[in-house]
Amino acid sequence: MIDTLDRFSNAITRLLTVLAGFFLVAMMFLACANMVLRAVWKPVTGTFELMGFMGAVVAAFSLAFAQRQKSHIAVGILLKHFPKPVRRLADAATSAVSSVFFLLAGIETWKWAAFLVQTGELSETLHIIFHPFVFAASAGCLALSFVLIIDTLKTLRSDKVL
Amino acid sequence: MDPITAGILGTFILLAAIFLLRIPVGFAMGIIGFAGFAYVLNWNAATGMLGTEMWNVFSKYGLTVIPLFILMGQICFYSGVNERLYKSAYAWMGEIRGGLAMTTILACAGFAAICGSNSATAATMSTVALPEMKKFKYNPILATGSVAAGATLGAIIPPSVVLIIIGLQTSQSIAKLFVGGMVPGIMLSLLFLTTVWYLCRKNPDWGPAGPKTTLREKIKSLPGSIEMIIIFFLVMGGLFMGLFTPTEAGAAGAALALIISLLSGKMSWKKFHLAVDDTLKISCMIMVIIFGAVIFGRFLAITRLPFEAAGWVAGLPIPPVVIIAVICLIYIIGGMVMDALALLLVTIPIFFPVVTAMGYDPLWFGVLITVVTTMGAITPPVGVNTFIVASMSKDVSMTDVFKGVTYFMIAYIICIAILMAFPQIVTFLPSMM
Repeated sequence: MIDTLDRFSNAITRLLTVLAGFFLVAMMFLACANMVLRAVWKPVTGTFELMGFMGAVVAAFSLAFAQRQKSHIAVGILLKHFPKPVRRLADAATSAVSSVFFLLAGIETWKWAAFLVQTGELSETLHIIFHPFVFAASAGCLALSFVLIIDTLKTLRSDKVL
Repeated sequence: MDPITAGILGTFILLAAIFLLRIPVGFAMGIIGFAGFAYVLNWNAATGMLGTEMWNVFSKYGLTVIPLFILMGQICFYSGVNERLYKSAYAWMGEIRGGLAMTTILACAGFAAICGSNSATAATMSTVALPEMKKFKYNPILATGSVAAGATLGAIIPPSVVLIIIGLQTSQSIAKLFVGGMVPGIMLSLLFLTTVWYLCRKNPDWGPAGPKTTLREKIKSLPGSIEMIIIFFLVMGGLFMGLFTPTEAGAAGAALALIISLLSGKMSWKKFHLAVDDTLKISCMIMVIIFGAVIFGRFLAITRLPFEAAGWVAGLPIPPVVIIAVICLIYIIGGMVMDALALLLVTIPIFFPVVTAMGYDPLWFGVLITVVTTMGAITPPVGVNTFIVASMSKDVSMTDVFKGVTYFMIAYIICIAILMAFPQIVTFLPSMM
């Protein structure tokens, strides 16, 4: 069961990472295009706005990937002095609490996006809908929450404790 | 419980969670900040803040500078700029006593000028410099010490991710912080070179002189450092002259690095893929810490703890320089057990109002604490760079690596003392902008 969920979380993470990579490269090209066009003709309208939207997607879609790669900075220098069962419990508990936190962040961001749909809010410069980007940010948080739940289950099941 | 007590308690719980649990620093700040906010105000206010802050932080234009600068550094890393830089510096310095260690410091400084990360510079230079120094029978203490210490220049010499974060968190000009970090970065590099020279003078067998190179060979090696120079001058020149924003500088640097590496045949699809993947990982890690710091900062703000603390400290009957020295000491101790970036994000909301209330230049303070916390990357027990270098040099013990970096810590302390005594070293160039 956990292995199936893990494979599913891996597939979601890969998909989100590819999309994040695409938006990252797009950001680089957009910023360069804006600089060049500003110098020779006129700037690309709404560059700052689009960069912000794409930046949000890049950050949110990388959340699950960074967690699966254990890239986040943690200290915990005192934990290694505790017995193995305590370390396992502490790791599982922190993953579970973190999962709940990002689930909450995802739900609240989703609600915020739904509110934008309801009110028909448009962006300031380009006057385009931007709720898809907010939904994307929410999806990134929910994916991270899912990865953290799998981490909790894996920690509780595994014989190896760091 | 009154809000200020809640703020103090929240800060202690945060520190306890960070040190006791293996919880990521960004997560801990977010969770405790959120819980504290809900406690002081109410649950609905806290959940509302969470949703909007998540979007506000992630979609902030100013923060898009982070992935783009990291992308620039990663493209340079995967295209092997570090190796060419090392060869170039080696041609000029290799033939003198301790020259390879000096080469390492110079190559680290050069690579730092296009890559804003300590750990990336440490990992990169370890793979290039350590085998060379082993070949020429350099003492492992000097070899590993010079790599670990030299790599810390990555966070000080602009463009630096740490300076970007300080700029964003304290609402200061990133361009000015970059320019302010230049002289201290060069000064620290020179102090490191002096350290190597002194060590090799005292212990001639620590760094034997390498084979002589002709002037022709020296000149022939120069193209190896040209791409670094071009990228650095494009980024810093454009920022200094106000031609583009920091985000655009990062994008232009990344695009230029990509073009140069493609034209020189040093970039493949696989390497580019790895560069993008690493960029996503590192920048996401930073964004999560920033998000956590923002949530924690909101909690501290409603408790009024930073402002009350600033007022209290500013009113203490002791000279401000003593307070600055105490803050530096806290950063040095904190830097020993915590990553520089995370430490800065946790502490800036508390210390920055204190320092500005005492009338110190925020730009000077930003650069000073960058230098101080960066020293933490080589101090035991959690010196990140020492761990990276030790893991890359299997036959050298951790103790030897720590012994090696100890010599360079003296250089750091001298640099910090000079920066405290002469703030103009930091503020002079930015004041011309």
